[in-house]
Amino acid sequence: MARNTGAHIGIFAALLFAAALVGACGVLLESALRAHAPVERYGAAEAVVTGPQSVEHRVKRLGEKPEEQSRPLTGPARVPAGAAARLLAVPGVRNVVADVSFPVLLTSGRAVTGHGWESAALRPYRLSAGRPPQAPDEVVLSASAGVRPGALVRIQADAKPRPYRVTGVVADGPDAAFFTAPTAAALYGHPGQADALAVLGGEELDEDALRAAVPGLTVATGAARGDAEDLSVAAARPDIVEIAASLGGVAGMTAIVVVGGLIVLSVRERAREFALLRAVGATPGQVRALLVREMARIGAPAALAGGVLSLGLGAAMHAALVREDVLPDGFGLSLSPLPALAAFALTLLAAVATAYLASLRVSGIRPVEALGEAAAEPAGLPRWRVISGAVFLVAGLNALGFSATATGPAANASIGGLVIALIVATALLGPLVARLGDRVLGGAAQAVSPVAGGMARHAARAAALRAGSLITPVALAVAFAGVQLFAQTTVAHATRVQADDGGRADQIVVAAGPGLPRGVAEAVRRTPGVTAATPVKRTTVVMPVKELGEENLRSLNARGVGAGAAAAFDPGVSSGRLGDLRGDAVALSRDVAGGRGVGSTATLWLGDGTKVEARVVAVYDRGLGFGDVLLPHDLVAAHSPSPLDDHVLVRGNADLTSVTAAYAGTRVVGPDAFGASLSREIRLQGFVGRVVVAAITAFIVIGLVTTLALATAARRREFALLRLAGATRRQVLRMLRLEAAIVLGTGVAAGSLIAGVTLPVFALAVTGLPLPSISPAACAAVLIGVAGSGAAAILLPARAVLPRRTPPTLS
Amino acid sequence: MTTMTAGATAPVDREPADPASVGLESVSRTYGEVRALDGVTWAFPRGTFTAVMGPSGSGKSTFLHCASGLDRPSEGTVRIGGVDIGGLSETKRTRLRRERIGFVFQAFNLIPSMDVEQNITLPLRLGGTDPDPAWLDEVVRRVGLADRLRHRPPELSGGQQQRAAIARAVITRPEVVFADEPTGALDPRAARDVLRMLRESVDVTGRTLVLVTHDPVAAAWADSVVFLSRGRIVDEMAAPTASAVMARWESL
Repeated sequence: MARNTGAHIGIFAALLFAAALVGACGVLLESALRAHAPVERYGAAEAVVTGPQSVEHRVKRLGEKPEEQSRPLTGPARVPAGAAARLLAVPGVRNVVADVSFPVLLTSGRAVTGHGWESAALRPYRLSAGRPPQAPDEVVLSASAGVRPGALVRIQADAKPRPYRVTGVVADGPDAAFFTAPTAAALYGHPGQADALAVLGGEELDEDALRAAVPGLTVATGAARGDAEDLSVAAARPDIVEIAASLGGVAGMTAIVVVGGLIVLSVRERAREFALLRAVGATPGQVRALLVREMARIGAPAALAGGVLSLGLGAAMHAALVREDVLPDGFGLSLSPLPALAAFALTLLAAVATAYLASLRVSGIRPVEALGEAAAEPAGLPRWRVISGAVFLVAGLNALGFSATATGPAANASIGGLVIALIVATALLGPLVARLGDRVLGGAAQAVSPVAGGMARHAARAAALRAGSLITPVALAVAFAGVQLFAQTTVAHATRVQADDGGRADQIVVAAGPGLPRGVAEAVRRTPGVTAATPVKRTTVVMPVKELGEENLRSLNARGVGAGAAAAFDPGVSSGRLGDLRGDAVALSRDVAGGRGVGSTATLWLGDGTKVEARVVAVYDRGLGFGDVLLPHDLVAAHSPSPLDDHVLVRGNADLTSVTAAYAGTRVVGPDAFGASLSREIRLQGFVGRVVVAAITAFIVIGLVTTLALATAARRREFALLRLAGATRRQVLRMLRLEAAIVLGTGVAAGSLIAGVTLPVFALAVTGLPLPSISPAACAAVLIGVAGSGAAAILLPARAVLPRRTPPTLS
Repeated sequence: MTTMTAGATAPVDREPADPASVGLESVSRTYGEVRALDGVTWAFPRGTFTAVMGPSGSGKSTFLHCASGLDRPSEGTVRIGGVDIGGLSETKRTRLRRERIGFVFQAFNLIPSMDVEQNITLPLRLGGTDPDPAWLDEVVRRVGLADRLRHRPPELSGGQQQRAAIARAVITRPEVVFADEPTGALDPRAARDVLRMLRESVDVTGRTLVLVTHDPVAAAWADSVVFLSRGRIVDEMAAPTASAVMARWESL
């Protein structure tokens, strides 16, 4: 049946878009599951032995057995160099290299990674000139450093720069500096340990034998060797998996709401046709089958095209994530037909299922209705809709209660479910919302313009069901855009405010290169005029956090801070003392403290996977501005991949040029220029938020335009009747404008209400004050964008249907 | 003219002993508080042409819907070809309608996206049967649409559309054809053509025809006229003439 093309085009577009989005999420998911950092330095190694690359922990579950959870480590877990002997005993092993890596800075400003010369064999790096280093002050550099053998260079590791003689140059591979083994071990700073043990041997090496030789350690071969080289990809993997899954879920859900609405609309438009088919002898089953077949015919090409497009869209999203710097460089893109196929199957299935549900309605059409003059809209809402709408409303309000009591990440997590529950409730109860909106806004319209307003009110009321299908997408768009955009800005704003409010430093020493050597903080402290200085070293710790009464293993932003911390910044300590932060002590933000008070013990895992039972010495409020966990600097430095500090906070307006002159790549900035950098997690959320808003908006536009175009076209006869009855073209248009104002106003109000209820609760949980950070410009853009496109979609077709000069006809 | 039960689906058992094509026994239909039909008992004998008349609101449409199985009565029994439709599911009732009953409506009710031939053969295709080409030719010739088969309904005049609807109603060789104000939207000339065709289908093929109308001229084509008022049958007139029907109508 070729009728109803408008609705079909809309449904096609929505399904295509849904398939593309779901498939794109699938591409991200597959990339995350397959991603390994590229094998750069271990190309010649048969196997690489490292410590565990993730933390495993059993968390208690109420009334269930404990759940094993795992979080990836962001730094290498070191291995004892002594294990090399056991590996050498495995048959087929030719050599084992204890590989160490540490950041060094050439005084030219170039940052490279330092290794022992034995590590050169792992790639292998080959000398293009000169010879290997033999004396403690000799070094081999990558050719890209631009020096020749025999030159003297100054190299800064974890101390002031020292002179080294270049004895050789390697032509290719990642930039590196090779020292003699003893020098490398000294610069590495962890005697008897290594980042990895790389095994050189023949093809016939027995992997199981290697594993048996080093129980408790991880043996990586093939592509997995990349993760041993660079942990950042493995560390990003779980987050990307989670985000791809939730994004795909949101896209799918929205598609079902929008497509479902369009199908119901198209079915309603064709009620007479279906009734007619029933009258001439089509059974309910035949009408159902007709609808489902029709949907399959639209859905299959749409899902197929969307599935194909999804590969491109997924690649584009991957590129955007890399550009936004939320994906590590080595996080490659995996493209296979799998996500496209999955998107095709899921979209088609959802379309057919939605059509089937809509068709159940159709089979309720009695053939007698074909004989009626006009298809009047059914008066009441089906009971199931009212009941399930109420259930979602209660679930939403319940989640609201949870969010109000939750803090930090838990609040973040519950906010999504809350918004979805409220929106589904709005969708189900749409006609009731429409009626309420009519009572309020319709009254206002009538007061403004008695004639046109009254007519508009009648039209809006008569078509409560139709209005419901317009209000839902508008409310959906406003609520989603509002919550997604402003939850992110609330967090970002709170981060900045907390960092500003708690900042006490007059100057900050920052690094241009990989970091600040340990001596910098000490040198600053000894500078006359400095009253306090503390080194700050960022890291990630893993800790079980209680969220909504359930424990979950989380990766948290942590900072190692020195003795002068209490004077250099104020994280808003609410109990305990920051000054007690030494030894195995920890300070927690209230977001993650989860009932742990001062004096209790917190179990956490440091950057290299070392488990610590730390004494809680303080609980503080400004977790967003200063990280969720504060640890003693020495503890963090001892268990991080690099010993270098991130910055030094300085109290007192002393002249620090003597310090910056002594160390390469250091710079002093004022507190304003420093600013609070947003964590990767927050930036990732911001990016996902923008993608979600873009996706939802696109769905809304498809849904709205289709719905409105159909609705207006269907009313051609009504307009003509009004004109025949004596209404001027201007009056009809005025009526339509007011009707649009009633319907769109109700949608905007419902959406704003959802966002207006949700955001303060979220803000309360995140910042302690129910004041979300809302930019008026973004707010206006959302409202104007949604309501404006809706109004345009109502009024433009109406102008086309209402001829200006020719007299009205009913045909 | 061969009679055959249309459709591949198994026909419901006929009871040849029953001379009535359609029988109503104490049939009532209420919509909320409104009693649209009030204990109507009537039988339409096979091969007859009956007109059902009554003023607006007399229950004509409800009578037609109940008698044709489009709607279920609130009380009482409706038999079509001897089968009690009260006990049938919606699907079975639909099949029965498809095989035994044809409809002609005032508003033609052709499907605009299908051409004339597709509209005419729709009931057969819904039943899963291919139209017999000879029979289709004959039906199309009789309604005079042989050169209009590829047209879509909006391209036809009202009379042509109604003739297509008549062809659709008889294509399944139904036992009964119900016509609801079939001439209501037509000019007198087109109306006469349509009525003649309906009359022929009774005379030539022995079909039963029930015509609901409030036009005395149309009613005069029937063998007998039944008068309906406030949900009850109040009178019957055999061998009607337009003026006699008019006179009786005035007294209702």
